[in-house]
Amino acid sequence: MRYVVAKEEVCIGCRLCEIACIVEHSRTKDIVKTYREENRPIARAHVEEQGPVSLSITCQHCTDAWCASACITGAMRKHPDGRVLVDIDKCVGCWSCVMACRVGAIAMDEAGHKSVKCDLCGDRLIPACVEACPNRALVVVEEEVG
Amino acid sequence: MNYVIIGGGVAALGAIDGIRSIDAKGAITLITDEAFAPYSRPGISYWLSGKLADWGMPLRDEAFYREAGVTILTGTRAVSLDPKKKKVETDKAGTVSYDKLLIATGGTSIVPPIEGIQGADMVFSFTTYNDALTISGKKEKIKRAVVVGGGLIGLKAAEALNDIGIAVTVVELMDRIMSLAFDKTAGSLMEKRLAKSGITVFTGDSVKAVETKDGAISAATLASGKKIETDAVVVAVGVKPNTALAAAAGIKINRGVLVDQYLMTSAGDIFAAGDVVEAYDLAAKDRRVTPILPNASRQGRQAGRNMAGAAESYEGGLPMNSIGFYGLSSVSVGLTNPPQDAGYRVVTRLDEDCDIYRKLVFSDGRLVGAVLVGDVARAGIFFGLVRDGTPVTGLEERMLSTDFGHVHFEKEVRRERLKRS
Repeated sequence: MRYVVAKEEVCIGCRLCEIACIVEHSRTKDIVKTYREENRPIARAHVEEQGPVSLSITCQHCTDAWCASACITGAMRKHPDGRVLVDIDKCVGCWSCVMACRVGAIAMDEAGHKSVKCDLCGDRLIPACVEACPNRALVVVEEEVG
Repeated sequence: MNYVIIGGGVAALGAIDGIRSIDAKGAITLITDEAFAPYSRPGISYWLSGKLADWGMPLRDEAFYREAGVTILTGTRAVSLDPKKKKVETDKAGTVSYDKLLIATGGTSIVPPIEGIQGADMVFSFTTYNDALTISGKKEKIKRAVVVGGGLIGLKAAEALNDIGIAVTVVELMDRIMSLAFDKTAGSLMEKRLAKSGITVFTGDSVKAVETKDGAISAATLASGKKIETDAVVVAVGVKPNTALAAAAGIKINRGVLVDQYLMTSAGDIFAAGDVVEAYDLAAKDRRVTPILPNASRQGRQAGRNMAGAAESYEGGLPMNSIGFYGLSSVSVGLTNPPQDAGYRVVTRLDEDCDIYRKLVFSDGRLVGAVLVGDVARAGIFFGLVRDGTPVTGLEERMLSTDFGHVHFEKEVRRERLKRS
């Protein structure tokens, strides 16, 4: 299984990871068209910044996924491939997962009443945020499932 | 190994996951007196208002149980159990033997002492799919409803009823709604939002008596003397643990079924989890019945792992609720209404123009409780700090701002906090 970790030592807080994430999850996957899209996607990565320190925080696809434990409809689940994914058709936007994720990695689509989170970009070999990072502050960690 | 689970809520589902995380092969049988495989109990309010369809109610699809090798006996009541012979007697499926048993029988809605309520038609509870189906089946006859109790269940019932065009009045005994989690300020913000959305809320009052006409509810009289004409009463003053099965088998109970740190009952090889249990609570530093979904799920999972031989201590529960109405969200965690003069430090921030409120409770330099209203983004950071007892001295005021995050901690603390679970 895989997940993305941030190296704060080399993060420059440019937020290109957030932009790449939005574009990747848009309808067109085109940065200019995405900007004009209605219901533009919400970034699944969240950059925190304070003085000289910055880092990009995203889902760690926990083995013991608290967000899934707190989900009231079964929308949030740990899948056999190791990813923690939300079934947006089942999500009712109760934000229980937001309450239970201590990393703070679940974003809220408040207009659509849906939780939004990292899906590791589906079939992409390298997640968009990792590819977009100009300073290699995001790395993919690979571990065996189990 | 032969595992049997009595009950069909999230504790049961958690137990299936827990057992299978260790034992891929042992037979698992789930016995539930409801007509359904585990479904979303909080989902019933979304279902009633049409935000969740029938297909969205089951927590897992049939393939999940098939692949996990779980036999589900729906509509089957566990009548008695014999801890010595390790057998469960059922009403429809005969005798079921077990090697390890989980009691996850949940809770039942408490009916408060209201004059005239016994045997009256159009009185409902709101904790099961069947409750929602019953109300839905009679909704043509309901133009007005009184909800007794302004807690989580009562308010979600009120919201759903309001959404389907029923005029709803909520009556809450305490001086505020969500009284276990909220203070007066948080309660007022929510009450204002509910009122704006068409729901009437009376706090500091209670339903004393109901009147019936041709056997069905026609009015409710409050302790204050107010009289409300109504077509239905929804009772939501709380749930009590379904301990009868355990008690009859000689298992030790207090308010709920008592368990040790492994979630094992006083009878060997019998575990208990969920709303029926009195398990360790981190906020109370004692065993408590805390009937909320995340605790039930976590307990189920841990009990399942221990049934399969893990021997791990239960991490302990915490009161935690995420509840919102008509665009106003809230999250509450831990000890939110600390006793006066007991050394707690409380910091708050209220922005009434934006309906944003934040209340943080500290003890010994650690966060022990939090209420967030209006802006609940990344609320889990607070939940994590309460759970882990992370020292936060010096950050108290900082934590009131909505941009508070891991970046405000020292690097070593941050590294620890961002570790995968």
